[in-house]
Amino acid sequence: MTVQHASPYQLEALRVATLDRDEELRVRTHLASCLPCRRLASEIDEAHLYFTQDVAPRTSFAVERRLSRWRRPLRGAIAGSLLSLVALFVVILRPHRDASAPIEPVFIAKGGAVMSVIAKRGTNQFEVHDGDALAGGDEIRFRLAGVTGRYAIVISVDGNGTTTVYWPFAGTHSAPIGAGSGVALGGSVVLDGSPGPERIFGLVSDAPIDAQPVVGALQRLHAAGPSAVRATTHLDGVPAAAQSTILVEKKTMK
Amino acid sequence: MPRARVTGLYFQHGPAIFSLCRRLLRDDVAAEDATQETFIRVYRHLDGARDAKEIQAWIYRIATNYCLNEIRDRKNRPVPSETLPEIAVESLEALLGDRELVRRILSSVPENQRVIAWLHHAEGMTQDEVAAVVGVSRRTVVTRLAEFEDAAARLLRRVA
Repeated sequence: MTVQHASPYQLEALRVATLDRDEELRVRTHLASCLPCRRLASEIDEAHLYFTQDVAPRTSFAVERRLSRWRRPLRGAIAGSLLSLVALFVVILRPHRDASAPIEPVFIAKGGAVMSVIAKRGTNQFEVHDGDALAGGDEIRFRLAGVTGRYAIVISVDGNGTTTVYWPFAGTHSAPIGAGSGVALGGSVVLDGSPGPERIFGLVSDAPIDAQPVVGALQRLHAAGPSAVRATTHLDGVPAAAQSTILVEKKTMK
Repeated sequence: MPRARVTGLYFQHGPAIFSLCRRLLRDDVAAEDATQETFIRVYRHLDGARDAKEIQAWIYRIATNYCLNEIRDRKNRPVPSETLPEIAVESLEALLGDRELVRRILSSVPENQRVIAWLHHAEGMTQDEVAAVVGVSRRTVVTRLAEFEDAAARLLRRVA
């Protein structure tokens, strides 16, 4: 007699409660006694977790950008929806995976931390050097080396004076980082198209740092003008044990 | 489309679609891209009311089509016979329960069989479910599956 195993489609339907009642009972009963199907269910669970923790926070912005090109009247609604979704993911779940690649430091700052930035444009991936030009749509991710602290935050101010916490994305405080001298910060961020100099700081500390004072410092830096943004490599009055920074020049991509 | 609906669909179906794309493409980055592409298409074409089951099936179809096209566009060559397992053709039905084997055979069969074969043999949908997802009659599903199984048998016979 052939055993009727649970299919991926059924297991997915089970998760979102779209199976018929009888079918749901059959699948649940079968799962209780079938190791291969439980393994498949575990794989699906893992894929769901990975998507919600890592993929969605990184890709939602890219999706929103593309949607906005197709149906402009709905752009605000989509952006709001996806931003809300990202916020939900970030609040509930912390990204835990990263596709790291060999990365060289790009700027060494006081305190010993070294932040590297890797950008992806289309299918090309490249290391970002201080002063390099990036464009809206480029995807960037971060790595810290020589880290002595236990918490980190990556935050920037762009040419419009907008501050963004890149890691932990949209966070209000710095977040725990993994052990070791080199730490890949999970997830990546798609840059918007705001032109001008963007100064990115990586701050490391032994205790969580409130992002708000850092935001204030960055806004003051922006108010001092583009030259100050380009020249400043240390934020005063920020309770970080180590700082690392990189400047990118954002260009408008045609 | 109401804002809540977009958010809801992405939240509810994104993980499942990613999971599907991962099974098909065997690559996390490619699966991420495919998931994005799927929801772009969902957004463009989601008009009118659809019930939850219909939406799930519809998104599955979009994602499966996209992934199979991706595989085709990577210029996957027909599966070299020596990479297929040496088996007895009599066990074809059991073999087609092997998702990885189905995936490899797909690159060797005509396009109109691929989605149907994948959904039935690898995703485990019934013929009726496949018909609903793909938007064809059950009779067409039966025909395509028979063609796929013939093609798979021929491929496997070469190494048996």
